[in-house]
Amino acid sequence: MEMKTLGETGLHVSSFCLGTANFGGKGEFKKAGEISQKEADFIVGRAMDSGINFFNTAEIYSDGLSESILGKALGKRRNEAVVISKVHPNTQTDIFEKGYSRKRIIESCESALKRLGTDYLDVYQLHMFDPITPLEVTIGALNELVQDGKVRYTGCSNFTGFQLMKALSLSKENGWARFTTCEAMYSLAARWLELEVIPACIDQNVALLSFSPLHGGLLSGKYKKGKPWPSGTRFNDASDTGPWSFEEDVLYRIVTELDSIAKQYDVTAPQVALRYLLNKQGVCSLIFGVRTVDQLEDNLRTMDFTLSCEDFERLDTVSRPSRQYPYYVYDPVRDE
Amino acid sequence: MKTRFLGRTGMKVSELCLGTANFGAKGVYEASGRIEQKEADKIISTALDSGIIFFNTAERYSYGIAEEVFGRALGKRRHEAIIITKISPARYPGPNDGGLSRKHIIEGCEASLKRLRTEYIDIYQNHEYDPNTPLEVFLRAMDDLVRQGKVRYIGCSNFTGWQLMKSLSISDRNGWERFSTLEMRYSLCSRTIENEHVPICLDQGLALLPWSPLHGGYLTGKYKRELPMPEGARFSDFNDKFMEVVPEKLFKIIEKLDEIAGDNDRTVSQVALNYLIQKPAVTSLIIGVRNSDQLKENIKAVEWQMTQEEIEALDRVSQPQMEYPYFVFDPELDKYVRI
Repeated sequence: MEMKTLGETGLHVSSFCLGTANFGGKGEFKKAGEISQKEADFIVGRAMDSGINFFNTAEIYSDGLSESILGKALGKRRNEAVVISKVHPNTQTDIFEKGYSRKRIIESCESALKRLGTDYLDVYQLHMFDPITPLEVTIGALNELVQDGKVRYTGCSNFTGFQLMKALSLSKENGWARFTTCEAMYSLAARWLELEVIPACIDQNVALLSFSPLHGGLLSGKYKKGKPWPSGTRFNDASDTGPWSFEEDVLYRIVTELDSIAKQYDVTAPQVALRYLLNKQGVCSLIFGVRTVDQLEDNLRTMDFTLSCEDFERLDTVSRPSRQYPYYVYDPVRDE
Repeated sequence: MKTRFLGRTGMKVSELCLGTANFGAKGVYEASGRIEQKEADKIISTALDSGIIFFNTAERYSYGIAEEVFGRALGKRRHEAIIITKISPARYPGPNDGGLSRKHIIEGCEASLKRLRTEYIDIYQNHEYDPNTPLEVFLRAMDDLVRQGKVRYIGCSNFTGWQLMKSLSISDRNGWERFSTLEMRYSLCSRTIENEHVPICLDQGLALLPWSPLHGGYLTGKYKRELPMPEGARFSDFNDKFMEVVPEKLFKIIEKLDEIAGDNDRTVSQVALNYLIQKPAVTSLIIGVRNSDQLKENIKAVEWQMTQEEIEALDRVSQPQMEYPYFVFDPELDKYVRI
């Protein structure tokens, strides 16, 4: 297992992080999967035996059930693991309980600790930005959790470049614990992050954790040009892929390139897609969930090969987002 | 001409800001025509007489010629005007004749003052990001210029969102003068800055100054689905690599503009400008003209106000692609945010 330093934390984490959005399968998260406790015990055990020490959960995943299952699955090996959980601004039905007030941050954290059966979280992240609560209130509350020993490090998820940079600056001004991680959707099929968030992460030494590295499965090799839309996946049809948006032409160009490179190395298309992402600048760890131990083993084979610079470039070129202002040097003379 | 407060400066500016990129134009700047001194004199006095008190130039424009022509044209009426000029990003002809080093900022500013025939610049902006100079060096030098009285306020142009936010925090942390303005390309054809820059301007109290509000002329009504490419215009096709024009989308925007123009007895350009001046954070539109008649036409763009429905119709037809992380992830949360 390739290990990485996690931003400025001094921690070492595996470059794969096991996602647990499919643990439990309640409500909205049923689509992600319905991994039972028994299956989870097995998957988590095998992950740890393979050198994965990094686990990602959230209070929103199946209303806390994912946290409970992960906590039980880790059991006595909890201290070997680096555990991320996330507070969500929209878990409560009462409008006054929404957002990231000091009350919500503290109470959510305490509930997460209880469900996980632990007395500390390694990384506590904001699941997304809350435009109503001032960032000072939220980050101040997170800092207190760190001082109280309930949380070791803090992080964010789904922030824009501006929001991330503002949060980091506020922490610096106030001497508070600063975000050490940024969890964001990033893959061959979703590279818009390279415009703002990734340069900010590199500049500020924040560890980028990529979620949906196979773009919700669209890069798994099951979706091919001219072939019927596969069944038994989380998507009913091509028009209903939610946040995993895609342009057909671009997606199929990427998939074709993945297939051709996979053949060269005698590996699978998703293994090439993960390998590419591990080689990208700024990326610390890839978060993915698995339904079976076989899927886990498949993904682990990504560690057994490297891409040549040439093949990396091929993938980089075919998946490059279109040029748009202000994300290039504009000076006409310099450009000539 | 109506005026508006410029961010948190306490200073008011006109809703239109006259750009001078084509004053005495040479080289690439000739693309939008060359304004000779005599015409410049006429344009500037027409502008001032019409209430346009806001002017935008840059040392980069034809290597100082624009500043010279503009300075001469302004002459004795300097104090009626609020002037922006910008630090050149191009390290040319010498390796330090550009960029955001302390050396070039100080020397560039002094040279601009001389060419503009003035003792102070109202707003001094960087033209672009310089990846080779730490922001601290740049911002400290800008603060020094303010303290020396050579510059009244500072501003920024063409930064990405995180670069801008980082700069503001550095200034605040050190008690230095912070950016008051942000000059960015913004138009119906180019709305990417709504993802990062507009929210920053609103959050941080910056005045947003759109350049190319008619997208280099594509939104003037000359480029239409049924018409051949216009002669003598800046662009002869849709392939300019900087303008990122998608012809089909452009035609749809033009058709909507045409419809609103007809309903209000305005021109296509006037409707496009009127839309932009009403967008959040926008304070003044930077427009370039080829002669004083064009200027008079453009002034009419801010003498009326389109309806909310018309703004929304234009919003819809010009909607940029919302890519992660800029789309609404959680519709339920969106409802909570909008209470």
